[in-house]
Amino acid sequence: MEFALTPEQEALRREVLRFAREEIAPRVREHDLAGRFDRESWKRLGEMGVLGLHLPPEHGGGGASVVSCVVVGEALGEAGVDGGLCLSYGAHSFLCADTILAHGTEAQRRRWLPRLATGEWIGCMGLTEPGAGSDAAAIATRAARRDGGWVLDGRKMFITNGGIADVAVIFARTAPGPGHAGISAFVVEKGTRGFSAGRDLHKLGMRSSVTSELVLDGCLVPDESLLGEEGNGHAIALRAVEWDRSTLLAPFLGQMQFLVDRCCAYAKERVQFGRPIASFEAVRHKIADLAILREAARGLVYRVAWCKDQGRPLNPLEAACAKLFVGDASLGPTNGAVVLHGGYGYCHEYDVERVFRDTRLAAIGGGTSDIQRLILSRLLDVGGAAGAEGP
Amino acid sequence: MNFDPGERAREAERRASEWLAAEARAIEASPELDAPGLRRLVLGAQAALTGDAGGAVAARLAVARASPALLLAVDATRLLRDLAGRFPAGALPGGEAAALAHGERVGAVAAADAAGSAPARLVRTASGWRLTARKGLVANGPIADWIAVLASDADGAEVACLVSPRDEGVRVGPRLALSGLDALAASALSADGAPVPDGRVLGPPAGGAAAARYRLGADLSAAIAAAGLVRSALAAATRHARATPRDGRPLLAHQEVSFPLADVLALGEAAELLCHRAAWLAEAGDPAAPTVVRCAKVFCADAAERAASACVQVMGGEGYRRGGVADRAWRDAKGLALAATTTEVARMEIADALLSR
Repeated sequence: MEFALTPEQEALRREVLRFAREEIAPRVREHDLAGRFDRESWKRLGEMGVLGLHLPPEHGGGGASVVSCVVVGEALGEAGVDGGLCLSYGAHSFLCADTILAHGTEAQRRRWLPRLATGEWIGCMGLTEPGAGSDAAAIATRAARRDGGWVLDGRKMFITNGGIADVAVIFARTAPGPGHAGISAFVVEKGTRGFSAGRDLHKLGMRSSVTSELVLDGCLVPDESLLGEEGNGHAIALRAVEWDRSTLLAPFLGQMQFLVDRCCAYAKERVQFGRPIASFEAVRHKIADLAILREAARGLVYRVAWCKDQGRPLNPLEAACAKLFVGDASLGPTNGAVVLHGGYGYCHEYDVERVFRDTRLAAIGGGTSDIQRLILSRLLDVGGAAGAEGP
Repeated sequence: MNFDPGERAREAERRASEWLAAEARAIEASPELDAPGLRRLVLGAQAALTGDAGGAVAARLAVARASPALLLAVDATRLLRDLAGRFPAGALPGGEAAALAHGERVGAVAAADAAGSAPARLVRTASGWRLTARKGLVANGPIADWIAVLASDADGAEVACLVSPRDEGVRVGPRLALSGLDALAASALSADGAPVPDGRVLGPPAGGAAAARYRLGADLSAAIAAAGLVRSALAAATRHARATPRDGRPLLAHQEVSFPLADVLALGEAAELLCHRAAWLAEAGDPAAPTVVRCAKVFCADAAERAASACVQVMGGEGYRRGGVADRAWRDAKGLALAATTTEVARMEIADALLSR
């Protein structure tokens, strides 16, 4: 095994870190507190080339590898960019744009990708519904053929970027259920009659990211909106979820480093009992635990990205381990970072409480920790997990 | 970045696995072996893992899954050999260096001073170097041909020396009864002004560098041993949960059993990857290596304790049976939390490195 980044990836990391620290991080607190999407930062990310980084140059992107996307996500988190903006970026670039890239026709790619690559258009993906969360195959949104197109009816829930999206990848049932065989994917543009955003949801964390309901009420879309083959929606959704286990987890790695930096600075400056609190062992252990978590999570997240770059099919072991570990293991150390800051940790000015709130989503979004355990349990049951058969 | 283990590592793992399969019965019985029996087993493992490829993490993980204690024993020789290589040529008598390199000798490193004892001292007197030491627990002590002793000189600088258990003034105590790591032959070592020839002393600053390198290697060894234990505990608990019915279904079909095992599976994956990365950084001489290796030590040792506890819980009464797989894992895991740098001290050192940036 070999863990070095290429010189180009190192340079990319440094550049994104500098850019994000100087131009985005100073705006984060205001937007987090207001629960407001930061359009200016979004525009700057687009100009920087981040929003289309993974898309091929012919569609306006940077043609970067998945590992490079993880490098960028990690750098954004380390720079102090809030989880909300990173989540919006992930939903836009990976759940929406990459899904169109992977499954769209050339005409569909040409229509949507260039403007998604620059961030001029914002993308989202609508899979979850009020009655279909972890059980994604239970979606009730329907698409019926009519006059050279499809009519979509249903409601989507917890959709990142939903209320601000110009383009949405929507999953709907084109054949009667149950199960995932009759699910198809469509691309729906903002302004399409019958397509609207419902209420925005107020959240514990990721507050600068817009999370909305989407309403499809007799929404007529042309045949050209069908993404991939009819009935192949479940496979398309599963592929999109792969990104959840790599690039969307990357900012969490960076946020652990951000917390390490914040905790070290505070521990050296804060004096109690006549000495800096950095001299207390309990404080140093909390700092160490953040670093240990980051080091342990790093291999899991980068391995998923590397596998994806190699074109390997979805590996449930690798993906579920990364998601489960990052989601659950971050709880203790991020809590420790808040406690280390005492009363200040409970206040907004020191940013650690924001990271604490933001990281809670890692155990929920894109498949809860229990869903990951279910996946891994099945692997244990059939003996598919490496090493579970014994030495 | 490349997560493919590579041909060299695959070959090393294959060789280790073949030896482990051939010796499976002896390894299973190793907790009951006497010192000569353990020595034969350790020599066999070393012979199967000689050369650079033998140091591959994949091969060492394979050994650790079978027996964390055996890996610690094999690595103790590896660490001694690495230390010995830093001494002036001729430090070891003719043929001994080559025999060590070929896995035909057992080595040990006496690092930690016995509780309550004065730190080990190696001082130059008019009649040459003299070693005074009380070392508490030396892995391979009772079966070692050569032992490196870490000490301080008269100025407090770190130094190291090579001794043989047969040397005048050096006493290797009887094999200690440990709570876990049953297949590890460990003993105390003491010396009261034992003479050490000039050629077998590594003075400052080389002695300090050698000690730092030893600590890195020992922490990595403990981390790999712990990561292996996570896997073997998971395997034992999973086998039990597949084979044991409850309410008409295998235990594994119950989420209260399978979910904790899923957590252990994720921990095991993270632990092994962290070991690979820490070893890669250490081999590359990366400045971040000491901190990452210590992170690996703490994470893997904590994961092993959690995995062993889950293993006992899932296996119920069978897990609590003295001498069973789960019981052994439970006791071994505690030993691995203490081995090399204890998890508490390692956390302090990690924080020190971060705070000093």
